[in-house]
Amino acid sequence: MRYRENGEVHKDFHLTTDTTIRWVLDTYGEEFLAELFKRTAQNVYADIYTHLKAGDASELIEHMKYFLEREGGTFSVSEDRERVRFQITDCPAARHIKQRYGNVPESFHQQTILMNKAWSEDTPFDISTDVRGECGCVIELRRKSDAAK
Amino acid sequence: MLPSDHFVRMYNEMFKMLLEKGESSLENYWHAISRLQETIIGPYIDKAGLAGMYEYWEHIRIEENCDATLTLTDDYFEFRMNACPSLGKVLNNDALPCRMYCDHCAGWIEPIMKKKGYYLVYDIISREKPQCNMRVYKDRGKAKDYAGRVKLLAKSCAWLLEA
Repeated sequence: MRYRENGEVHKDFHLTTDTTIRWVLDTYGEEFLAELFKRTAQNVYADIYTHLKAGDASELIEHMKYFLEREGGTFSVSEDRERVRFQITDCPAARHIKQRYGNVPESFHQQTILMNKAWSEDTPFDISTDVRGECGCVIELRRKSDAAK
Repeated sequence: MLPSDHFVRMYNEMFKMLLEKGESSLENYWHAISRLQETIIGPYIDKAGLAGMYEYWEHIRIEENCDATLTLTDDYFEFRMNACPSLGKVLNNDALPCRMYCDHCAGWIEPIMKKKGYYLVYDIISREKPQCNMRVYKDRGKAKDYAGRVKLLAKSCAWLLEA
């Protein structure tokens, strides 16, 4: 895994992500936000994206497990021949926003939706994000040939 | 979820995109971040002034895994970053660093200090090494004197040297 962080976790960065998303949407709109998370997914996480393009989702799966665990999220992962499914029932990022503001803006989930979309682009995978409530979502990775079935 | 550990690498992408629109776009964004940060650090400053800043940044030193030295005097609060984890991550990155990455700290801190009646002197020192030094003064004259002696003054603090 390219970036394996350790030490303390500064969860207030989720507040800054939320402010960034809302400011971008108000100032420059959806297209700019999509480009920001596309560059993050494909350039910052170049290692994950390169593996995905080569048909290997293992780096992304390890990344997701590692950081959800590191930030104390509640989730389960199921895998079968056709798909990998992350069921996140308590997302630590959304939880931090809810604790601070009392609710989670819908736009906050765009970070996950847009990065998963960018990781799907020009790769053999379809990575879907189904937001479930304020602090939950289901993420599924399927090979595009399987997703079409 | 973008991990909180990786926020700064996204931040760096944001800076590069905004710079494509011009420096004023980048500064407007830092002001938006400043308004958020004021809700967090503001109560520390209102309660205890320079000592409140020390308390806030001591918490940051621990939580953001900074190698930093904090000093509190009658005149100023100093946060000397010996190894900045933020620039460190941006340099340890598959994407390229923004040429103005280091300016973001002064970009959001300075408006808060100005509003609270303090004077920020931010010495970036170098844009390639993850080291910098921040001082916040109560007295404008002492801040101006120090600002004239630093290695690389952040643009947001340049007004101190005028007049």
